[in-house]
Amino acid sequence: MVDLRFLSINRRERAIFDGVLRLLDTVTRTVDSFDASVSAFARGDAKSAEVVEKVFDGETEADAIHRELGTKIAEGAFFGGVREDMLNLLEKIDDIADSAKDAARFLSQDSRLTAEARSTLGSAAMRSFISALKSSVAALTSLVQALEQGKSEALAKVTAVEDFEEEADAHKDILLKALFSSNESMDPVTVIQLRDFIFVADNIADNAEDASDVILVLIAKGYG
Amino acid sequence: MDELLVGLAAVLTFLFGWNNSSFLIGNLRGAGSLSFAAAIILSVLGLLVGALLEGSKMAATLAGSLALSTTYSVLLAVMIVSISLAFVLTLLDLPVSFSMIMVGAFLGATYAAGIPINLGRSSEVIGFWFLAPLATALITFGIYESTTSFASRFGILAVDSMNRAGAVVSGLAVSYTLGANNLGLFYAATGILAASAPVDYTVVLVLIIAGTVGIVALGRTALGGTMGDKMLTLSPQGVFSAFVASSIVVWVGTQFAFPVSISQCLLGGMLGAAYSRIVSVVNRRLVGDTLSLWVAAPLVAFTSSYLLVSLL
Repeated sequence: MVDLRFLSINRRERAIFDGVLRLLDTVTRTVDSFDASVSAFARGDAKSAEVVEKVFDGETEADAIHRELGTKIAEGAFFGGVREDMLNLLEKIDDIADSAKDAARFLSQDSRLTAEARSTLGSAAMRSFISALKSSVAALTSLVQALEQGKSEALAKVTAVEDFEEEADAHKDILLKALFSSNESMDPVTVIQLRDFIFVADNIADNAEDASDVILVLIAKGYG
Repeated sequence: MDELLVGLAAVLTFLFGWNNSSFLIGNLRGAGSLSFAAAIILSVLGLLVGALLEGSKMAATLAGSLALSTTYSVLLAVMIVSISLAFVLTLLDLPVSFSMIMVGAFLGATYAAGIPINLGRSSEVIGFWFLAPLATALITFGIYESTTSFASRFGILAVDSMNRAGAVVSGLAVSYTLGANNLGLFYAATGILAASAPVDYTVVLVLIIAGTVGIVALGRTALGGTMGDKMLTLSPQGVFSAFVASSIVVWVGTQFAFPVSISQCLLGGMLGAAYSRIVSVVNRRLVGDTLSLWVAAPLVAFTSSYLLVSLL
C-alpha cells in the first residue's frame, strides 16, 4: 500500500470517502438498534418502543449523511466516469438503513404484531438470521475500508458480503418453513406480518450485497 | 500566402475544432478534471505549442511530397472539398479524418491538373494510415497493462487522483500532436509556396484562433465523443492509454511528415485497450461504420476534387 495523503490533491475525495465510512458507521448502529429492538420485543420489554425509535433516528441520520455526500459528488468530486457508481454505492448503503427501519416498523407501537409473535422473534433461528444480517453489514464496512488499500485487498473481501447474504437467506428459509409448518395455532395476520418482517429484514443483507456489487464495478474500472 | 486559401484554411480549422472538441476537451470535461474554461485553455495551449514547435514539419506534406508542385486551383479544390465533406460529417456527428480527406482531395485535384503524383510517397502515407491504428493498439495494450498493474497497488483515492491527472496529461498530449500534425497540414494548403517559404506565424495564429472558436462555440456539448461513449466502454486507464498511445503515433507520423488522423489512432487504441480485457463492450456496428467511412471519405474526396478541378 502506498500512501499519497501528503499530496493533498484529493482532499475533497478523501472527505467523501471518510463520509462513506461515517455513513456505514451510522448504518451499522441502526442495524444494531434494530437487533436490540427485536430482542426487546421478544422479551416483552416495555421499553421496546424506545429502542425502535433509535432505529428510526439512525435512518434519519443516514439519510442526512447520504444527502450531504451525494451533493458533494454531484458538485464534481471523483473522476467523471465513476461518480455514478459512487452515488449508487451511497444509495445502496442508505437502503440498508431504510430496510432496518422498515423492518423495525413491524415492532413499533402501532404495529399489529402481537405477543404471540414473541416466540418466533426470540427463537434461535431468528438470532442466527439477524446475526447474519449484521455480519453482512460488517463485511461491507471491511470491504469499503479495503478500497483504500488496493485492488487485491478489496477483491479478497468482496465475496464475504455475498457469503453472509447467502447465510441470511438460508436462515430466512428456515424461519419461513418453521412459520408455515408450525402446529401451534397462530393468528393468520400475525403469520403474514412475521413473514413480511422476515422478508423486509432480509433486505438488509440484500442491499449490503448490492453495495458490494457496486464496489466490484469500481474495481473493474481500475479503482481500488 | 493567398488570402482566400488562408480564409478557407481558417474555416477548415474551425470545423476541425468543432469535430475534434470531443478529443480536445471532451475527455477533460467528462473526467471532471477541469472546468470548461480551463479545458479550453489547456487544449488551445497544446495546439499552439504543437503548431509552433513542430507544425513546420508538416508544411511540405502536400506540395513537395505527394506531388512535386501544385497550383492555386488544386489547393482551392482541396479546401472546398475538405470543408464540404468535413462539414457534412461533423453535422452527422461522425469523427472526420481531416488528414485523409485532404490527402484524398489533393491527390484527386493533382491528378486532374495533370501534375505528376509521387506514387512512392503516396503509398508510404497510405501505408502509414493502415499501420497507425495497429501500432496504436499495440502501444495502448502495453501502456494499459502497465498502468492497470501500477494502479492496482494504490487505494481508491490515489487511483482517482491519478486518473484525473492522467486525463489532463493525455488531453495535453493529444492537443499538442494535433497542433503539430493537423494544423501543420492545414498550413501546408494555404499557399503554393507554403512548403518552401519561411513559416508565416500570422497564418498559424489565424488557424489557432479559428480552431479555438470552433471548440468554444460548438464544443460545449462534447463530453465524451463518439468513440469513448458510443463505440466501447473503457476504464479511465483504458482511455488514458489510448490517448497517450495515439499521441505517440501521431507524433511519430509528424516526424516523417505523414498526415495522420487522431481518431483513426484512437479507434485502434481503444480497441486495443478493450480487447486486452476479457470483458469489453464494443459497438461493432459503429466501429464498422467508422471504418467504412475512413475508406469512403478519401475516395469521395479524391473523386470530388478531380471533378472540381476538371470543371474549373
